[in-house]
Amino acid sequence: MRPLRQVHVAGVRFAGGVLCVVTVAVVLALQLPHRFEWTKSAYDDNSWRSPVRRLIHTGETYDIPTDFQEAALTYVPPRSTFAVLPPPSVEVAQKGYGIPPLTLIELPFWMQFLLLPSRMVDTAHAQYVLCFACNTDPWVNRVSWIWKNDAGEAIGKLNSP
Amino acid sequence: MSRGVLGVIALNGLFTLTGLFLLWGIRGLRTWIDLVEQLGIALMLGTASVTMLATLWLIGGEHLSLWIVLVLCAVVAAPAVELAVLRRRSLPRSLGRLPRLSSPGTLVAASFFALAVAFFVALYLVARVNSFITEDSFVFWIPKAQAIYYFGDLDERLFRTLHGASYPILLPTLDAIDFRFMGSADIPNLALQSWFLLAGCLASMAALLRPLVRPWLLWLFVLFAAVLPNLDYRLYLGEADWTVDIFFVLSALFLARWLAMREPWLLVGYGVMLAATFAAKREGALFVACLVGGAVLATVGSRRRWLPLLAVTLAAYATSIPWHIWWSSRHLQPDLPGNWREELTSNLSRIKPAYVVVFRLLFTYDFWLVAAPIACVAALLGLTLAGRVREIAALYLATMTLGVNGLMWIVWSEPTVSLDTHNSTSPIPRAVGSLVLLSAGLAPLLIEPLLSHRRRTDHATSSQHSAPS
Repeated sequence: MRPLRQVHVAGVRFAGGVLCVVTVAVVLALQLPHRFEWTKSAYDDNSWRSPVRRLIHTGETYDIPTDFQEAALTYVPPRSTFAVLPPPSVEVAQKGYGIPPLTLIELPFWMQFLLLPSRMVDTAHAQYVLCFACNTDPWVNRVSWIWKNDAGEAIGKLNSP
Repeated sequence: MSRGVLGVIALNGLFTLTGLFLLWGIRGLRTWIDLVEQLGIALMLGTASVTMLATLWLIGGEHLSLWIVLVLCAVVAAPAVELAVLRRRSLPRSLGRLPRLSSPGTLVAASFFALAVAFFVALYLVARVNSFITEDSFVFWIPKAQAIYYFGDLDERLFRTLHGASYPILLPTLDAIDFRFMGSADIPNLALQSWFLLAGCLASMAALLRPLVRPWLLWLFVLFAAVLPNLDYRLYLGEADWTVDIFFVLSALFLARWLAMREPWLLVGYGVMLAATFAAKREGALFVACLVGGAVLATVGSRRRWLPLLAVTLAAYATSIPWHIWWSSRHLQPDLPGNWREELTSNLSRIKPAYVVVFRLLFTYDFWLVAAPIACVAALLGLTLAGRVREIAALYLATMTLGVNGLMWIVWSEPTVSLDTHNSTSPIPRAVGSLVLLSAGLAPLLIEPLLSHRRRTDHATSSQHSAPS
């Protein structure tokens, strides 16, 4: 009886092993074309971007405008200090400029990442300010604006006291 | 080809060369074919050992320049060469035995190999144009690497302002080394480093399991692991999740082969990968605890192996202590919530939904195909065998059981972790990747004895579990 039982268990094991292999082979046969298609579409979706556009694309997905990011890279010199000036309130950002709250949460983190080795500091210690739909009135006599767009974004250099 | 791309390729070539010296020292390189087979292991050993040393160098307050990286490679390679000479390790003198192409098994294996290569070429092209990283990447993982690159060291002023200040620094250090070789902080091309890590991991899987698994079965699962949808989707996002998963799975593969074959050099590989797992992410320590716990349970009938296993594990853990001292002495935000013990008792109602979340994520076909169920079935069947086959099955099942409970514990102890399965609100969709990749990595080893032992008795089969032709 014992050898018979062992043969039976060995058969179950073998059948189980074959079933595992067949399952994986079938899944692969079904999935592989989709996986190759995925790589093709991922390549096609991104291959047109220049190196700079590849760098700033994640910021674009958070609705941080392309021209604002490019200008920040251009006008804020490496190893300088900068501050990000947000809109006066979430409501103003949303109703006046169509900026979603998530963008305001991510904006400082993104600009710090984008502009390193420049350091993000508070406005009292900044050499440059990045105005993101901010209220520019308090800055009129303190900042020389070096770049502006029509969407409420601007970059300025703080004047020496 | 841009300077950035060339830099990443050159760095990984250097890591591979360093790893080859290490392999020569600890095991020897028998033939040229053997050398080619071991390239993946060499890459991963070189990457893990040099980057680990670089993290310790940075923690010591020193600057990490390109020259220092070269010196660190020499620091790894020189003792290995000395050991190789002392032990008279073999160097390749002949080509070695090529597989017979007339065999149907070899032809099937060659087909899977060709498909895997084609898919890796496609993944390489995706890496070359990758344009998207996740929030964690731009909030702290990559800024830490930028700080190391631009300021030369662990810039405390910047680290203090970043989220996850106390998170281990292996990935930022590796990224910073890439920047050094690229000649600039070429962030989009960091995706290529992730490609090398995955290619090295799967090539290592093939090399480590080859003496134990028939080639067509092995390459079937290498291809299967490469096309896991959530792996491909998350690979280039710049987070440390896949880095820790890759080193964890390689630790498990080194360990499984050591349990099966007892070659001493495998313990060196296990220790190096384990140290990298500790240094890659907080969850690494949890996964290591699960793996070592699984190994202890699996070898309870052969306790003589506990001593080398635990000694290597402790040595690997010791490499993570300097980082703990660095961040705790600076009073940076700790890596665990301060009140997690109280949270456990006050959140008992989260236990059941936490299990549901973990199991749902582990077995979601759209994310991971059938990797975990297949390996679980094969391991359960493997338990009916004796000896080493049962040990490997027990290692897998115990590690998975502990791992599921560990992930459940994360959800249970942190009320901020949501009870849904969405990527943005919970780390669990990423964390289960370790257990899935472990399943895909060990599955061929678990299935092989099931196919081999149809007509043999349990006792006879277990003692004959060795390299199939």
